This record gives sequence, structure tokens and C-alpha cells, in this order.
Amino acid sequence: MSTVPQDLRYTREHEWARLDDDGRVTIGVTDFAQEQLGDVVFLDLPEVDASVEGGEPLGEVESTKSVSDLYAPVSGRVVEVNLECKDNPAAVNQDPYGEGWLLVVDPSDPTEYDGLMSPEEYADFLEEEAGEGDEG
Amino acid sequence: MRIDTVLLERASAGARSRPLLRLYSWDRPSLSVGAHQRLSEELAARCASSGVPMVRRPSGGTAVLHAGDLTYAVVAPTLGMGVLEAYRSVAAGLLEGLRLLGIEACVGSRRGRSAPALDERSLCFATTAGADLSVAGAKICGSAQVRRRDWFLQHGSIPLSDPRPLARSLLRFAGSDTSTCVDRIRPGTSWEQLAGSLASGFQNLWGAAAVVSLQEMLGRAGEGGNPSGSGGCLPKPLVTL
Repeated sequence: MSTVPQDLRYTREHEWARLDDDGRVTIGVTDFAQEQLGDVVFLDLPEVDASVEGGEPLGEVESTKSVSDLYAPVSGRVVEVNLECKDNPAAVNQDPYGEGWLLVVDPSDPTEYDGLMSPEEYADFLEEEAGEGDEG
Repeated sequence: MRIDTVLLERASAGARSRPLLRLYSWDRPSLSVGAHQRLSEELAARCASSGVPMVRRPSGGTAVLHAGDLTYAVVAPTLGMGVLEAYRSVAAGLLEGLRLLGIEACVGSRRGRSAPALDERSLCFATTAGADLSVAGAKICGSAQVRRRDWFLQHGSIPLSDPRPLARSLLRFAGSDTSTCVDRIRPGTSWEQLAGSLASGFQNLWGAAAVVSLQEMLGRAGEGGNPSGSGGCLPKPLVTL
């Protein structure tokens, strides 16, 4: 069973977002995502100062057998990138909500964060996806 | 492989709802390299001096020497499937196609040869991973995937003939005992026979109505991209479902 922390918001593409005290948003991929991906071997992340748009690709995560887009949960400017995680992508598998965070965005539209899925909604979404996967 | 990328982009943008299978071969020995794979300068130099073009795949994984192989590309909706579930879904079509040809394969386990040389770890057929297909423990099909929103593209290679002599002569790889080829299991099998069996295998899995032709697909998708930019792929023989 994947972990879904209660203090985060989520996307349909399995990214998490955390609104920090300074109004910035920290972003990573969920426990479910890292389980599905398998061993993460490479992260393609934007540079600091790059602009990202909510719902649009911001980079890629490559595991041993798959390349997947990463999507920005919110729009804004990248203010920090986890270079240690970029050097050691296994952190995404080992600690997706901690050491495996990916980047921090200064959001341009604070209302976007509120529009992300709540932990309860994301947990329900995971159950729905599991049901579809069983059928597929 | 550029065509495959265009098809994935169009599918993920909502241009289609059904899965698609492409089967093709290459007009000369070529090395396809994983999306973010870094090749050593030495290997790149060997390819250049041997006249082996390198093509960057959008999918992950490691390098594949395409020489006398059948390359497949599946573009399909994820339908909530994770990476391994999607692999298993495609594997079902491949296994059925191989079975129709009289080859009993199975989804391989992670049992690669221990500690291959550094450069050999760059080559897909040097190791067997959980999503690959094997016959009697020897790898016969390696695959790699890329996912865009609710769609995925999976590439794979099935060698008809043993590519290792060529890999040795062109790229100076010592080769691996963990792989096999169609000709070794079913001697005399042609590319067309293999392609026909795989196409039937996927049709048995997805149903004839589940697929449309490439021409229909590209025609319906309208503008965008350059489907003719195939980057080393031979336009025939080509089977598209």
C-alpha cells in the first residue's frame, strides 16, 4: 500500500506538492509513482529561474526500463533544484517525500495549489487506477 | 523511431483512442541508444569508424545493435497500468505471436550474466531484465518504454539472426551467452514470417477492430511532426496494424 501523507497535495500524474511557510511549493513524485517506476536512474529537471506551467511537462524521470514525463503541479518560477537527488536519483525510491524531493517553485497563481487533489482524493484516485489496471 | 515518437505525441494529445503496433527493420546495422544513456567516447568512436549510425530513442533502457532484427513499437493507452503491467500487456501479444511461430517464450527474470564488462552493460542484450522475454533462459526480446500522460510507447527488438559476431567485429564486444535469436530456435524463419505471427498475436489479443492503419492514423491526426523522418528505419518491410 502506497504512502499518502496528509500534509501534501497531489496530481493525477502522481506528483506531490507541499505549500511551505514561505509560500513556495516543493514538488516530488509520490510513493506510488516510485513503486511503479522501479529503480530511478536519471532525472532531467529544469534549471533554477526556469518557468514552469501547471499541468505541463517540466522534465523527465527515467527508471531502469521506462522514461516518464514529470508534470508541474503549479505554475511559477523554479527557485531551487535538488542537485543531490539529481546526482543520486535512487533517493526518489528510498525517500520520495523527503530526500527525494525534486524542486521548489515560487508559484505565480496561489489558487492552483488549492485546486490539486487532497490526500483523500488522491487515495481514491489510486484505488480507481488500480481498478482500471486490473481490467486492462 | 521518429515516427513512433510522433505517434505517441499525437496519441497523448488525444488524436487516437486505440493501440497501434508497428514492426520494422533497419537498412543497415544501427545502434539505438536509450533516452538518457551516456555512451563512452570510445564506443561512439567505434560506431563512427564502423559506419554504424546511432539513433537516440525516446524510450529508456540501454543500447541495442539493430542488425538483422525485427523492431517493434507499441503505442497504447495506459488504462491505469503501471510500468510493469504495461510491459506484461505488450508481452502477452509478443508471446502469443511467438507461440504462433512455434516459439515458447516467457517473461524473463532478472538473471543477467554476472559482472559484464563496463561497455557491455551499455548493451541491452548483455543482460536480462524483469520485463524481457526469454526462451530457455536466454533473452530473445528486450524492451524499453516511455510514457506521456495516459499513453505509452514501448520499443523492443527481436533478433532473427545472432547479432553478436557483428557486435564483435563492428563494436568489439565480446558477446554474451544470455541471449538467443529466432534463427537458432526456428531456423530459416524470415522477417515476414515473424512479423506476420506477431501481428496475428496482437490481433488475437486486441481484436482486429482495436487497431487502425498507420495511413489512417497519420491522415486523421492532421498537421504536426514529420512522419517520414524515420532516422535509419527501412520503410519496407513494414507492418502496421
